[in-house]
Amino acid sequence: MILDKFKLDSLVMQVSYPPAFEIWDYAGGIASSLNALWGPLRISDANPQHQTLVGEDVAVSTSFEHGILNLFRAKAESSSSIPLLQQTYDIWRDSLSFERITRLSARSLYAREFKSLAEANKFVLDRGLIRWPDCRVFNQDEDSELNGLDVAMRLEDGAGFTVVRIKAERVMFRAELDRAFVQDDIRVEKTRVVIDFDRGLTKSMPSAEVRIGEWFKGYQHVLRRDLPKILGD
Amino acid sequence: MEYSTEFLLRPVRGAQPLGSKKKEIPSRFVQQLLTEWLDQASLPTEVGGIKATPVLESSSSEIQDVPEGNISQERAYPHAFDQSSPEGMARASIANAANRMSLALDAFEDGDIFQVSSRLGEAAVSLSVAHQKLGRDNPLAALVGYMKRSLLVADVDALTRASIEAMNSVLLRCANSPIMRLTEAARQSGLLERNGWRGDEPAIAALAAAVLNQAASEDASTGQTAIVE
Repeated sequence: MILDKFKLDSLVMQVSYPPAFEIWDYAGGIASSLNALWGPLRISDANPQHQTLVGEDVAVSTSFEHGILNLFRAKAESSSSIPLLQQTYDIWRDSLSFERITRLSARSLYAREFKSLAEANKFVLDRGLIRWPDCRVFNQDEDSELNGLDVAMRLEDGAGFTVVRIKAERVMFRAELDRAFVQDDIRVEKTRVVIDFDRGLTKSMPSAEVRIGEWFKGYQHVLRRDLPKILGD
Repeated sequence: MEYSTEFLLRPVRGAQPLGSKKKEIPSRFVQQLLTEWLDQASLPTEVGGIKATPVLESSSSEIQDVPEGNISQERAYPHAFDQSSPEGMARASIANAANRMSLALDAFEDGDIFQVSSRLGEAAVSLSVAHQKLGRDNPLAALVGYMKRSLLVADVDALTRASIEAMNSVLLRCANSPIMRLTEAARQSGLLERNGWRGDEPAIAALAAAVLNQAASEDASTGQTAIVE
């Protein structure tokens, strides 16, 4: 199974609902409840339109029309986080009193590091999804170390969508700090292949009938069942 | 390609072009931002997009016209309908039990009590298989357990057409919509009980007791007195 060679880097759950003006009345209660569930959390951003709370490997954003939960690394991989997804949804539903949801989706990013971009590109190319040109194209250097692959497939109908994307990338994070305190910049470079799986329901549903835990089981089931059909083992 | 977290040092939202002029930032603010950055350092980011906000959104496009209506359980919870998963195997066994109950109904119409008893036994076996596949925390497991025990202890001579139809109806409900809350499982077992089936399920009984206790306490808090005859 291809995913067994990857690590779940992040998981994003998004719930959309009709405009919920109750956020003006219950923003504090929502923050307290989310803090009790995922905390300790601190405020990253807050204004009358939305609030974003962040903590260790977690970020939760609540706005007029969307609730977005981000889990990273250990929290994304932990099975103990799954029941908390339902509880997060319940906090939003109970506080914002929405009777229907207009969207429920989750996006998982699985990453695997490689020594070089060439190796990462080869891994993606070996999936057989795209053909690498055997000659110079678009007047670009065919041997450039920065050349990368990024392939996506999108399936969508009136009830939902699924997007699968695989890409090879080299990313560099750089922090330039105040020289009075830190002499050297921080530079971290990673070369990796990312499998990005985004799937959701876009049909309006009664909010009380949604079972987040079961929905997520289905999400993981189709991911593991069908991903090898596209990307191979 | 290169990312920069230089923008983290600025008290503004969004990315800044690389190499733009730095501002003087208080050291505590820098430390806080650095801590946040280290927390989020491996966030997935878009190559060339310099997008490092802690809140990601789905990559899909917005759906402008959202269709109303209920989405099918098969679409929302595909694992429960796929026979390669334990839940899907359980559902197939429940569907098989419903089929046996339908045959039991035919036998009942023909007055063939032996066949009725035989079909009930087959349905109980199917439900036993289903019960083993379902997790203990699944409300459907509680209802399936109730039905299995009801079928095993049923007095065939006391069965009526209505009771067999009720069992068949609940089995079909479970096969068509296997994802349910415990309250719905309790409601379905109540329907069976009203039609003469007995298969007390501890989880459902506990829920019923909790609901009754809650109702009693609410009555007490509002000064109402329950009269039990």
